Amino acid sequence: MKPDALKGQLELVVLATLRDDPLHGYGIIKQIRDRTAGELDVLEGTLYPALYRLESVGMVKSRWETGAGRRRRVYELTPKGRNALAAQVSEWRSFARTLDVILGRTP
Amino acid sequence: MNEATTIAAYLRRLDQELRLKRAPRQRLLAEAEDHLRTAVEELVGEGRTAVDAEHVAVARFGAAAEVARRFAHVAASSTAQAAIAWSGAAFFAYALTVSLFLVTAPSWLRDFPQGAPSMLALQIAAVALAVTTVRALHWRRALLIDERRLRLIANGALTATLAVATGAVAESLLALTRPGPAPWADASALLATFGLAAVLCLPAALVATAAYARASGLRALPGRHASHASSVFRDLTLAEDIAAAAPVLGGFARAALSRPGWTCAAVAASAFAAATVSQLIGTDFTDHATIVVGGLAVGAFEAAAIVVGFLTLGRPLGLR
Repeated sequence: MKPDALKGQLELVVLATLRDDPLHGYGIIKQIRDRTAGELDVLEGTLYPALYRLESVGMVKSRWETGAGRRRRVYELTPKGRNALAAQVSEWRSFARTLDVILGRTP
Repeated sequence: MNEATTIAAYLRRLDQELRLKRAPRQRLLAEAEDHLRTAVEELVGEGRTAVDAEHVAVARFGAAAEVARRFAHVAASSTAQAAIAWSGAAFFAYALTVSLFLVTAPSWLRDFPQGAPSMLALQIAAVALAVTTVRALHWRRALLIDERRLRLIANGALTATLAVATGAVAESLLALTRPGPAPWADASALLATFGLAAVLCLPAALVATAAYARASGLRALPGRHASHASSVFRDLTLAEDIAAAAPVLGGFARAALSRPGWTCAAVAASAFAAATVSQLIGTDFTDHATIVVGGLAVGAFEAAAIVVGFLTLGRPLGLR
C-alpha cells in the first residue's frame, strides 16, 4: 500500500499502535510493519510530526529512556488519547461499513 | 536537489530544512539519529552491508524536505488554533469595554470609544471571528487542518485582530484630538480598562501574524502537497462547516452561500433599513429634513461598509 493511502489517518494508526505498550519511534514503525505484514508502508520520518502533534494536544506523552548505551524517546497513550482512539475507531468502522455498502454492489 | 544518503549527511540536511526552535529541533535530530541507527542495525542483521543499510534506512525515513514540511504543518496548525483564541479574547475584551463605557461613562465621554470606528471594527471582527470559529469547530477533532482551510483560519484571526486594533487606535486618536479640555482624570478606571483591552490586541496581532505567516509559508515549502482533510468525501466549503457545527442551519447556509453576492446585497439592504429606522426612532422630529437625511446617511454608511467589506474581505475569509 502506498504511503499516500494513509493520508490523514496516520495519527489514528499511531494511537492504535500505542494502545498496548509504550514504544519509541522505530518501535512504532516496526509494530505497524509487523502487524500489517508490511502492507502499510509509512514514510518513517513523517511519524515524528504526527507524534509531536499528538503530544501537543495531550493524546500521548513521552520521556527519554536510556538503554544499551542509547537514549530513546518513548511514547505512551494518555487517558485522553485512549478516549480519542476509541472515538476514532468507532467513527472509522462506521465509515468503513458505509463504504462497504457501496463497494459491495460494485460488480 | 540531491538527497543525502548517509545518516550524517541526512541529519545535516534535516537540520537545514527544519523550521523549528532549538529545543524541538535538537530533540527531533536525536530521535531521527536513534531511529536511523536502529534501522541500520536491523538491516545489517538481515545481511545487508553497512553502506547499503544506511542508504535503505535513509530512503525509508523519507526526504528531509518532506519531513520538515510536515513539521511546518504541525506548527502552523497549533499557531492557527492559538490565533483564534487570542483574537477571540481581544474581540470580547474590546466589545465588553465598549459596552462598559456605553452603560457607565459620564456624559462628556459618551462618544468614546463607541463611535463609528469601534462599531465598524467590531462588526468586521465579529463576522471574521464567526466564520473562523465555525471552521475551527468543524475541524476541532482533526489533528491537522488542511492547508487551504488553515490559511482561511489565519486570515480570519488576523482580520479580526487588526479590525479591533484599528478601531481602538482610531478611537484614541479621535479622543485625543477632540477640541477643548476634557477631565480625563475623572474617568481613570474606565480609561485604564480601555487601555488594557487595547493592549491585548498586541499579543493577539503577533500570534495572528505568526499564524498567517506559517499558513502562507506552507505553500512555499518544498516537498509534496500534504492535505490532511480527515475524509476525502467531506466537502470543504463554509456551508458544510456551518452544517457540521450547527446542523439546523445547514440548509439555510447552503442556500445563502450558493449565491454570496445576492446574500451580501440582501444583508446590506437589511442593514440600511435597520440602521436608518434605528436612527429615526426616539427622535422628536423638530427638524424633519436633517433627521431623515442623517438617518439615511447612517443607513447608507452601514450598507456601504458591508458591501466594501464583502468585496475586500470576502475572498480571504472564504465567503466568496
